[in-house]
Amino acid sequence: MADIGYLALFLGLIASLYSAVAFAVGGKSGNRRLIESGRNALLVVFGLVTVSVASLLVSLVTHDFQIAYVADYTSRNMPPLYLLSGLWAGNSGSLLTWVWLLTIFGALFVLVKRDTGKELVPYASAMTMLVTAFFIILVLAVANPFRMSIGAAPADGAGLNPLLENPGMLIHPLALLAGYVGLTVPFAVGVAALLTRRLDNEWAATVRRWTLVAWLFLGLGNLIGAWWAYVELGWGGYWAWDPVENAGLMPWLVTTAFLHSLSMQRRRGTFKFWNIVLVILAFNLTIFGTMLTRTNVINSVHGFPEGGGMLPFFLTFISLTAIIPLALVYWRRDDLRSESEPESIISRESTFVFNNLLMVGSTAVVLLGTLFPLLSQLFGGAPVDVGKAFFDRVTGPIFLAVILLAGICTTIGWRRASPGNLARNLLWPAAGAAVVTVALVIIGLRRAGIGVAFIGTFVVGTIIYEWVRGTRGRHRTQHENLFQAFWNLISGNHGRYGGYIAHIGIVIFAVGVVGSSLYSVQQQATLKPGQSMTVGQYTLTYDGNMERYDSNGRQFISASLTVSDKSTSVGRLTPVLQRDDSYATGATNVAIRTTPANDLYVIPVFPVVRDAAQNILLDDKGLIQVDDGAAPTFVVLLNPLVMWLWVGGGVLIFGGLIAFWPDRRGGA
Amino acid sequence: MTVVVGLLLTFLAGFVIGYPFWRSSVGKPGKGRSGGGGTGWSATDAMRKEIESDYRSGILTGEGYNELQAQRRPLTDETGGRTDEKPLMVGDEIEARVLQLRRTKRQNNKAPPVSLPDKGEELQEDVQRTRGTSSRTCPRCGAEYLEGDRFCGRCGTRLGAGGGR
Repeated sequence: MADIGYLALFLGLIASLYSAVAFAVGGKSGNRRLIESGRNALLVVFGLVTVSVASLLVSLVTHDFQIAYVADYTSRNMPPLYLLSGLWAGNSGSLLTWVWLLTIFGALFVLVKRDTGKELVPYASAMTMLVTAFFIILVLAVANPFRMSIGAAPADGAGLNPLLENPGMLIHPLALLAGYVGLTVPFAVGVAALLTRRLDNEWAATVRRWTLVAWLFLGLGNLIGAWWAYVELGWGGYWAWDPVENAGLMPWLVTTAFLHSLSMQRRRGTFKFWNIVLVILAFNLTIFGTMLTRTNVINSVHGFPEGGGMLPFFLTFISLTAIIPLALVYWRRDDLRSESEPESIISRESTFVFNNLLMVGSTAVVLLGTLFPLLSQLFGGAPVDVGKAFFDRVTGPIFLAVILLAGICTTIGWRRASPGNLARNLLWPAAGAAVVTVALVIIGLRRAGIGVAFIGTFVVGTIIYEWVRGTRGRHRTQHENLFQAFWNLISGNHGRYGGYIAHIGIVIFAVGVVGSSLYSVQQQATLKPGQSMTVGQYTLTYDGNMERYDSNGRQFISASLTVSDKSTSVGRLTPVLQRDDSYATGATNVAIRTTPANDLYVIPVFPVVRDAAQNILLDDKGLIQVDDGAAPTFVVLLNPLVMWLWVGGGVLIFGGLIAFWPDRRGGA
Repeated sequence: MTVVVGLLLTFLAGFVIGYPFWRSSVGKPGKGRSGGGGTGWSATDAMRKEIESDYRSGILTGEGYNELQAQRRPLTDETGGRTDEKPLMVGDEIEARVLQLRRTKRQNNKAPPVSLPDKGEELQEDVQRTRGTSSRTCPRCGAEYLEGDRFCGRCGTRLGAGGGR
């Protein structure tokens, strides 16, 4: 199986190089047969890489521990779904998955032919195949998932890190990979547009929905990752500004700016320079992100331990994909002039400029903070980590300003809005926001929450105001009832109204961020049986039993707490510590009680016996050994409004899906 | 086994890749979205619809609408964006025509703007029919506007309760 997988990949490399050459030469000379041959070669690459992935999957499912990758990341007692997720659990497997997703996107691109942008297809596909060839070379030369184990095959594999055995493992890596890979197509089309000088609205119309797909996957991947960190890692937070987390956030921020900018180019023929630079930046950030993850140039809890040998490959590749397209941008600068000049700072066009500046600015801040340990090493000596506070304090106001712009942009006119007109449009939303904010301050809202409350309510107000006006307009002019008018308003322009729904999702998300960041309460107590601790409105009483048991080759210890809310019992929470022979230091499973108002989050610290290497020891019965007479300690957090993070993220994704959906009678 | 599979994969790949070279004729784009004919609903039409939507909702003034339509009008006409206006061209003909238009457009960059496009006038008539034909005068700049308009087409002033409610 391993040989077949490796061979298929090697043949795929040859086919991808041929495809790139055939597309480029055929596109230049107009040779239709050569272009078709290149297209067929692209589909062949997809087929061959699929064979390679299938052979690795078969090896995983059949526990072929002769293959080192299978032995390192799976074991015989793994549930089937996690066995399949072993495909992307390790560095080399996830790289192979990257290649596979890239060939899927490439195949879809050549198969979904559009009236617009067909002329760009040969050059864009050549670019896609070159990127595919690079990653195949990386897999074959440096990160080969089909490498055989040294010596005899082990009887059982190491299994998956217990922290990875979570539903998030099935979605988060795949979604992020799809998001990263998905940006290859817009980048390739952008480069094709530069090469062919088709820099008008054609390429913008072509890439819009591809970009939306990538943006959706990146957003979903980041959201699931945050949720997974919250429920699994046991530190009570969901975003630590880890380098690899930032690597997923930065392309998403730039892609958000790119999506907004694209709409400007489609409507007004402006922002051409912005768009081409943004798409080059977004793609290179994805390569940079994957370089960070796989080469460990910067320490990260998410990084793959192996992979240093890839650094020269990645650096060379990023140099080429950044310098050459930027050189093309300079060469084609005359073709990137806008079709119209900005007329006023008080206009929708200007808000989009500010949006781009803020998004790129926030990306630059995150990039600087991420690279700071490396930079400080280059200049000073010891690596210096800027810490979570830096990111929170610098990016917080920027993101708040972006949210405010979302509200202003909804009501401001094109080209040249009069200040009086703008003030009249903003009056009702601002008044509503002021009323809501004052009410919240009266019931106890303080500090940064006041600003977020006002801005958030204001933005939602402008969107609702726009919907009401649009619905009433249709109701009067089209003689539809209000429900029909509202439905037809949205279904007639999915891009716009999907975007508004996504903005609402961002506001809800921001509410969750502020609540959980600024108003979180933490208490810690060692409880003997029957003793209680109070956190906020809740009282937690330790029932007194530390249960020890084993199951499926793992050992567990748990403790139960009865939770009361103002002397009314609301349930029990049972946090757990688990251990197995492969990961003897143990993994904590926190207990969470979620309500719309807050999350009650319990982290257990059991009095287990450990050796010098912090491995948990077992007693004669094979159960976790506990210090006699010692009591467990519970770290309890009360995190307000956490649920709204996930709700807001879901609304954001939903809005994106609506924006992606074609309008009635087709459309780009 | 590996050798056999390898040879089989190589043969299949070579056959598929080389097929266009020994096929008797290269397939022409047919009708439908994947062909050069198209369904008459292209990205250009989608952009036009966006502009119309902005104009109807009052975000785009009449002047801005006319300007944007004028910018898009020549290219749309020449490439036959609507099946009911002109016979459609296919494949290489469209390529050649687009290149020719680009050259012409660059040469005529500073040409005076074209007169109001039919589509803009059509839309205005449609709006007039829907809203009624009585016209009024903007209190700020004196431009005429139709009953039902929410914004003045010249200065962007929001029109009051007397403006067509």
